Amino acid sequence: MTRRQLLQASGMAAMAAATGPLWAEPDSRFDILIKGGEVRDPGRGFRQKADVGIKDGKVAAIEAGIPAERGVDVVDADGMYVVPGLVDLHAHVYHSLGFGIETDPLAAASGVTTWVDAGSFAHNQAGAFREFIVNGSQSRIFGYIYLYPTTRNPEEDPVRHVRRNMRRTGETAVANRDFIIGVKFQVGSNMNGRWSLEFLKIARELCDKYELPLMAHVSFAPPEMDQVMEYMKPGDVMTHCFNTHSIGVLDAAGKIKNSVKDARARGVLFDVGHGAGSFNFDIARKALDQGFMPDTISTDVYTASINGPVYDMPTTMAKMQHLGMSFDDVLVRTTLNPAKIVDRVPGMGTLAVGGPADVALLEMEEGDFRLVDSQRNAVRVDRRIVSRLTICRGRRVAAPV
Amino acid sequence: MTRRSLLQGLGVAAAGGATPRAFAQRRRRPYDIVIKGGEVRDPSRELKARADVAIQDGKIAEVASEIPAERGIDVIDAKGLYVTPGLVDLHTHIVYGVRSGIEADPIAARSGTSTWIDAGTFAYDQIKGFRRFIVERNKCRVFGFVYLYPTSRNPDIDPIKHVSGVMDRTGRAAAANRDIVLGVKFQVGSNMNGRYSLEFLKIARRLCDEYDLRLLSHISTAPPETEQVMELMKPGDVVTHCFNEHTLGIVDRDTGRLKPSVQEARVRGVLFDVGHGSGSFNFKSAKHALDQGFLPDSISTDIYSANVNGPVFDLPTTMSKLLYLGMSFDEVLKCSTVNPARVVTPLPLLGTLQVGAPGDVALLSVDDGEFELIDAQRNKVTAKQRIVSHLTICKGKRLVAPV
Repeated sequence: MTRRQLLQASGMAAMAAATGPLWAEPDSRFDILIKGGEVRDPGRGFRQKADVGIKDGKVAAIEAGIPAERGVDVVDADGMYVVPGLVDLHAHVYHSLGFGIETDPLAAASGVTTWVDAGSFAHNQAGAFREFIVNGSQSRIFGYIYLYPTTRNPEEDPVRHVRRNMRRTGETAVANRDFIIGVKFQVGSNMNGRWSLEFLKIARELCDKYELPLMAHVSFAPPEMDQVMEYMKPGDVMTHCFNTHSIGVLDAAGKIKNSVKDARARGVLFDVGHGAGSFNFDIARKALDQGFMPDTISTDVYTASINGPVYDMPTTMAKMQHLGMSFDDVLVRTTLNPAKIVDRVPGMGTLAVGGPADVALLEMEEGDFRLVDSQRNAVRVDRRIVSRLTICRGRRVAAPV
Repeated sequence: MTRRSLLQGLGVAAAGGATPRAFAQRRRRPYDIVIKGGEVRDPSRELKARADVAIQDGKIAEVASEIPAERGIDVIDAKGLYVTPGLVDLHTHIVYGVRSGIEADPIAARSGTSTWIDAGTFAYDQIKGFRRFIVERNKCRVFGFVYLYPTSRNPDIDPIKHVSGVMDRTGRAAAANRDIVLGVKFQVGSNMNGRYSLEFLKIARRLCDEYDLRLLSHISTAPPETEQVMELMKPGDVVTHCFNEHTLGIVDRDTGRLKPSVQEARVRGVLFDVGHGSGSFNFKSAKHALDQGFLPDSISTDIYSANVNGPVFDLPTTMSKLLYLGMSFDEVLKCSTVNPARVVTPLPLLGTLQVGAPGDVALLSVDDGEFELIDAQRNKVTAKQRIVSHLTICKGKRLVAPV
């Protein structure tokens, strides 16, 4: 038998089998059917008890009383919220080659289906980020590329060096627009000594030239917040907005700084970015009391914060709820709002028929829980958000064994 | 059926079915690979003989003048080819996707290079990724030297203080990964670290002493001077880019004479490595050194994305350049097998074809013709011979390029 004959024979066998009862017609059932939950999609103002059918990676139905027989994998969501998969705008997921964490185990446990790496990789690491992180994860991975001001020659003029990196960073970002959503830079004297403002100006120029949004970390002055805000444009993100450091959103009297209000008015976005050192209950409460809610709630999870005080996204959400934000207010800031900033997957961040099947099953757990901020201030709460199941691209996200 | 009973059932099926047949086959054909009819060259024991080589369970199982073909499952006809230990490239950059790293496997398959040593494309905080994404994913053998990075994102921080701070972290990480980390890489040269190179090198020296690690030093542009660098090199350390044409080199650029400090360093056991790269191999510099009897200890490529498409291409091409300069095939082979394998302390028999050695074999030929060879300064020569790889076997398996 020649190779050609063999192929023909096997083709005929397949056709014969296809006409048999086993493959009589394609399975029209949903791949996953989530039954009995309360669907909450604050992005569309949708909140009601409904079943959700998922097929081929997309949401195929959202309606009441879908019979269990119509699903292959039927999930009982009784007592749970069925929400769009959570989007963490500030995480560090460049694991094993940096200080990032591996997403799969945490995604499975936390409802986060989309992770945005906030600059754990530089222009000369984007290839590895794609190969090992983006392609190696069950969840969706995006990233802000870092404009690194590091040189191995201490004698080199730092500004000249960063300017040279500017071009490489911009070109790399443009060539990888499918997963690189902007540029990250860390502003603060603890990061770059006296050079932060000069470097920030270069980051601004980079973002303008290559049409990229900027995500700016803020920590210690100098520069001052007013100076930083001058360089932020609509669509840019300022992260660590509730830190207790000298570049913060509050003035000495505890009032929101005018430059921050102005920035918000013109479309600059403010992100929580909890992290090991950047979330303080007192600061957050004062800001919230003045009606200054964050645009996005994110974790800044990395190796030094994952085992506390951050743990995961639901824990960060629980802290914002503790401070008085409603569940829907918290939810929209962890789904649609960050998804709009990512702006790569149509329909991401909401739950609509035809949209991507990224779903989290959350539950409000009651009990006695301790929540800790970055300065180790502890509060006790009697309820907290927990994740029960993470579905990304229509598949359950499973923790590796 | 529980998971346990399912597994037990499978075990019984395997014991009753496939295994005895496999045993029977094993008795008849004990060797996974038999390489027949080749010219065996093993510089580790100066073996040059027509012989067959058998590989079993990832190791060299037999080297004999006649091993019956029936004893092997995969029988390779090596008539007209040299059968050598798999080549060992001491200086490569293969952290794929990071900096200029390339993917090792596709080139390993076509170049006879079964062992790749990354010369510091990764820092102490990237060893985990180096292991997971590079060592474990490649079919070829991968080791590395960890880089002592002198980079800080705060230009106001004292550079010496910063590198001293990184020193301990680098040492601890290297010591905890001795199965894959062979030592510390540092790049010495004013083009790398300005006036700080010598101070940094001293920190690297201290690091290697404190943690008992081998030092691999790149040399490029003075200052510091060659004498100052040699003073800090100890037996077993490696100086790479030894045939560069830069100011920090082994031959005096005016007289063409080998520097005395280099000869002294060699005498006390410092190793000299080619490390071709984009800028560090010059025909004239190499010729000067060879003419004075200064052969390299190891021939390596310093291959990375900017030179993989020339002037480096691969290890056989680099070997061919030294063959052109007058080294014998056996000398070249020694410098790309047993010599570089000496730095791979976790595998004592690597780079040899002794029974029990790792099952790494290259099938090479020395082809006659007219071949253009180019050094790092784009000087061209026409060689009458070149070394060509025909097959790479690593860990007892043929290496095939990924599709």
